[in-house]
Amino acid sequence: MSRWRKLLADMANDSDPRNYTYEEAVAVLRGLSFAAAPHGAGSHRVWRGLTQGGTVVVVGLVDRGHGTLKPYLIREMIAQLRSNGFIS
Amino acid sequence: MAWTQEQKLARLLTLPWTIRLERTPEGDNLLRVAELPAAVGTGETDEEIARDFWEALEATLRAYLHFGDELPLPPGVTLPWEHPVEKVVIVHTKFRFVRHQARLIDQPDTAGSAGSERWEPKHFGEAVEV
Repeated sequence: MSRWRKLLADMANDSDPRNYTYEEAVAVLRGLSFAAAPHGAGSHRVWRGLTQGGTVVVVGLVDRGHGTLKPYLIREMIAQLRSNGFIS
Repeated sequence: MAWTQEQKLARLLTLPWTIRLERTPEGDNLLRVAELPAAVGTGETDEEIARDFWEALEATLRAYLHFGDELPLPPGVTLPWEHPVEKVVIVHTKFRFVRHQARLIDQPDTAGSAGSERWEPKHFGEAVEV
């Protein structure tokens, strides 16, 4: 199993996802062919992907350059991926 | 009018988005845009939450504009660059009154008595057709 798939599985099954970094979340999104939108000076990053049916999926993350992401960001990301069929 | 990305962004930031305040199990307060799940702001103080929220909303809107994706809009909102106002054509037509009836300047007097009423500039009028 590739690293991003294992990360995705870990995140999806983690009830308290407080130990994931921005880079790890990005690895998952890149693995699912998401692309980053250009960003300004702030820390918010927006990633955009497409389902097989062509539905646009937009995920927001925060890159503070250090530490781990707040758990709600991972929960939001997983919820988006799950509701759009990226996670069975 | 051709809208630039910055003009579109400025307009989008003023839309009546549905904003919800939520509290996470960890105790973080979140401000969320119901129509745009990626637009979520948080912080320790009200000022931080508001600043973070606007940054998140702007980043999300920029992403939609960048990729050219259809934006989930607040109910009842249409975007002026997607539904431009039909071009308005204003036609100024001069007419005069002949025997108490409006008559276009170039319209012939079929009764053959066009000269029976003295022409006065004050008889000019304008009809606006849209």
